[in-house]
Amino acid sequence: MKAMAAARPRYDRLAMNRLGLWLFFLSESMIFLILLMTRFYLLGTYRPEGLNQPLGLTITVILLLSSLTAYRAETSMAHGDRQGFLRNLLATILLGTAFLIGVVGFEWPEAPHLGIIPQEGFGIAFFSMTGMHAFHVLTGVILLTIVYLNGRRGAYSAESHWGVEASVKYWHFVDVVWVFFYPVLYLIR
Amino acid sequence: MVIGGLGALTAAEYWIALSVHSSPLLYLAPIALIKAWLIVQYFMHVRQLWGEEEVES
Repeated sequence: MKAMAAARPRYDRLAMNRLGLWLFFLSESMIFLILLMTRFYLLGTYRPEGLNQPLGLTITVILLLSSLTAYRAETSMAHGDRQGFLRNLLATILLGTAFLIGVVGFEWPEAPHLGIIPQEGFGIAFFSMTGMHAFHVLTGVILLTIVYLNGRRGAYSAESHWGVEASVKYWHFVDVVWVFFYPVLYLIR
Repeated sequence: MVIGGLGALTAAEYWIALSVHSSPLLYLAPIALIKAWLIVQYFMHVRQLWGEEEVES
């Protein structure tokens, strides 16, 4: 048995971790897919004219940029550049927080004045979809902050940084969800 | 490179939403799919699942 275990490839554990993470993404995708389908079922391609388009575009660009900094953070750690990792991860956390402030601090309070009421019509889809996504952004920011603090303590290295890889992949997943939510909420008609 | 592509596609989405008045969804859906593919392929390294791109973690 010991000989068999020793013969097993070293990356088995990492491969299983990755597979598990992607299965988690798949299960999460179902929630977002249902929200998307509900939006089309209830409203078709209708959207109100008064949506704050510049704000929608701004938060979208912010989230895209955060994916770049997250990617750089992971790459920096893979190359043993701890300072680069910390710098880029901090930028990701700040951009994620800016996205949250944009949605929850600006878009939500403004929406009822534009006729988007949470209890009716487009408002149900708008607040459900942005709310569920914002919740995932919040958990992502918390996760990245934990990884950042661990990174400052030297918990990761170029050879071993699964925590960094997993949290960054989660962040990209949240970005992918917004890639679909942005046009569906703000652009189609 | 990838972020440039994502930015350009986002700008294209915005332009389409403002200027295409009949069924912009026909254009926006493929653009969203391409953006998602770029992120999954180049930022999330989905190929690692098939062992084609091994990065030690």
